Amino acid sequence: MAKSMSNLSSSASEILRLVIPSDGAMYQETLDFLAECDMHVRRPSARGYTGKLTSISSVEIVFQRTADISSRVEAGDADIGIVGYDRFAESRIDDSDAAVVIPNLGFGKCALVVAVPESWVDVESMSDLADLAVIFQETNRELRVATKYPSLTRKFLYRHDVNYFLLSVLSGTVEPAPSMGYADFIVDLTASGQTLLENHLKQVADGTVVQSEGALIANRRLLSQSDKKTELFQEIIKRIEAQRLV
Amino acid sequence: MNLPPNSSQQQQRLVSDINIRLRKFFERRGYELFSTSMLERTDLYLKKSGGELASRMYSFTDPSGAEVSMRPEFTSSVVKNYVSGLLKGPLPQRWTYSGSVFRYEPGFSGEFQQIGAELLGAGSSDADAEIVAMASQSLSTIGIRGHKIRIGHMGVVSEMLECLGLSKRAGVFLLRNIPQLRTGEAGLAQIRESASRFGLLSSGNNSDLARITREMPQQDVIQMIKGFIGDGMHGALGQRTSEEIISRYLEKLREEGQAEFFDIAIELCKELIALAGPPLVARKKLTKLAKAYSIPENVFDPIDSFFDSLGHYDMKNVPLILDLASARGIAYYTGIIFDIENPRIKIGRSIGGGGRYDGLIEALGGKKSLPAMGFALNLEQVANLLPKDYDLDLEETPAKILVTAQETAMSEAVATAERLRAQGFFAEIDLECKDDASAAKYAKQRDIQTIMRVGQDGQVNEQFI
Repeated sequence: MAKSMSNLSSSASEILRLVIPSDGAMYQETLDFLAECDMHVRRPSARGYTGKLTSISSVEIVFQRTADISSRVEAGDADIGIVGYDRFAESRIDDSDAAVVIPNLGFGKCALVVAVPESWVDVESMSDLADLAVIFQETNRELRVATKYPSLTRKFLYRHDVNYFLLSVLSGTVEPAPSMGYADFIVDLTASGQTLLENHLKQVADGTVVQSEGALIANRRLLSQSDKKTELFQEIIKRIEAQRLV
Repeated sequence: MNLPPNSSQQQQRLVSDINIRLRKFFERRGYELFSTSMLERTDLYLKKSGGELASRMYSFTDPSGAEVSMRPEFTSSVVKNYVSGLLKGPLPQRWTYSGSVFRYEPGFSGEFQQIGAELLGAGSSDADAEIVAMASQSLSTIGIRGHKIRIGHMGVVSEMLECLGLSKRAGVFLLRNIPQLRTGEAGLAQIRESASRFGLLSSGNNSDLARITREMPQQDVIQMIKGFIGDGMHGALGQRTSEEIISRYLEKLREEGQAEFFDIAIELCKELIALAGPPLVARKKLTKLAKAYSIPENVFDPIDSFFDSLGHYDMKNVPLILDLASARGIAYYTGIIFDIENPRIKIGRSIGGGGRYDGLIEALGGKKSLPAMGFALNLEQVANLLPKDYDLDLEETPAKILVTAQETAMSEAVATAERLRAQGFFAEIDLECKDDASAAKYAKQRDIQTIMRVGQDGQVNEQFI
């Protein structure tokens, strides 16, 4: 990837590529946020993959599925990006070039939480789940957890002494998994807790894996290689900071 | 051998050489060679070892979408093959295996060589002794001296903790953290901190409800709780039954504080660490310790039978340490566990060890539980311990010969090489038709002792280097 980037003409390499969500609730929220920061996005076609900032030339907007934004910045296909912190944390790699610059842009707030069936009246805390994992292991059953966030889930459960479980990684909705019978509990995003309630699930007291909101991420290596890009990036940060002070 | 000391090439040759010798050593004891797949479904290892190992595995999604892992150890695969009926024959079954295992370790390639053995279907102390003695003797047979064997017993130590009133999970937690305890006060503070974070130091439930339920008959309490939570039992239960949920709820409600038990258990573990030593001496101290903690003496019966059985083998050159605070990968061991140690091996690296895992076969889907015991040696570490005069060519490597010829006489050269090979020599053909000087230089570099130059008439000129 580094090689293909260096092959770009010098003028192209002076363009800062900002990747933002093309789907889900984050799409409109990101556009609104940028507009509030005086950075209106012009997307020539509703299906187009690229756009421009009206206020800062030399910035190209790239639209990507939220799930892919972190890895695009990681790989160096884009210099910077706006993505839910949860997504970034899930796909981050140790020693990678991608880093969070501003973790709390103030929109898209939600939490990744552990939720168990409401009927599990004996389970209130992660400590109860750790107990259950031992009981399940002793009785040769597998404690099954459904999630879209396997990496964060695994680390969080191990950190809370829940050592025996089977991860079932889903790409669609996760909440119905326990009532459909293919998971015992879930780790999923919630904003208000409403969907959990509707699915007869309850949050575990100390089971918040990560609090998330829109975050600005950047590829440190790419930025450090170009003064022009650094300058453009600082301009964007300046506008974001100004909006946050309002 | 012309190899420079400690070169990776020499290391590889040593590893492969001891691998062959150890395999023969195990085969002579009835252990049959068995090869397992390098890739397995990830859940196989999760079921066996849980999080401890999972965080160090190389796992990925295969093209079909299944989660698979490079094998981090062999035991799971052997057991899986037994459960699926691939390992046939009467019990007990004896299997040996060797090859690469993969574990993430910062600073290392992640690929390590292991050889090991598993004894399935034998649960006596004689079976334990066979495995421990075989592991020790296998090192002696390749000339390694100076190793010690640290022996513990998961069943005994778990029972001791249970006698103190410690919950199963608190016991598992404590055993896993014994290495921390060895580091003194700092370690102790850390253990208490995580125990408290994991909710293991609860002070018990002192609510009115809790007090009432402690005094009421079980059936009445269950009825009462069902009345309370009636609506709460709607929706999914997962794999749990409502009885199971209520009974655990009740247990929690009635639970007395664990904090006090936990402190006593920590004291016991500290004493166990301190009394580790030669079996006879340590065993006497255990009797005293048990008395002090009101633990029945017969809890040590399995240890006594084990040492009786081990007495049938000649182990006098290998110091044994009885150490009930040793806890290797406690996730699935149920009985004797052992670790092979040598002061020349850095802390944190293991020469090898093993233990009894009677519950694993059922956990991995076996219809009936089956006693089982096994061990594995880490060959890179074993190779580091070989004596300086270890003779790699013990099996008498045949003389090496370079067969060279002009291009026009290649057919004669091939015929000569084939003839030499049939006679048992190592014969390699010079594909570049070198002149005498460069052939000699090449041969010297390759540790080849003889050059045979073949003429068109099939005439052979021998030159010794």
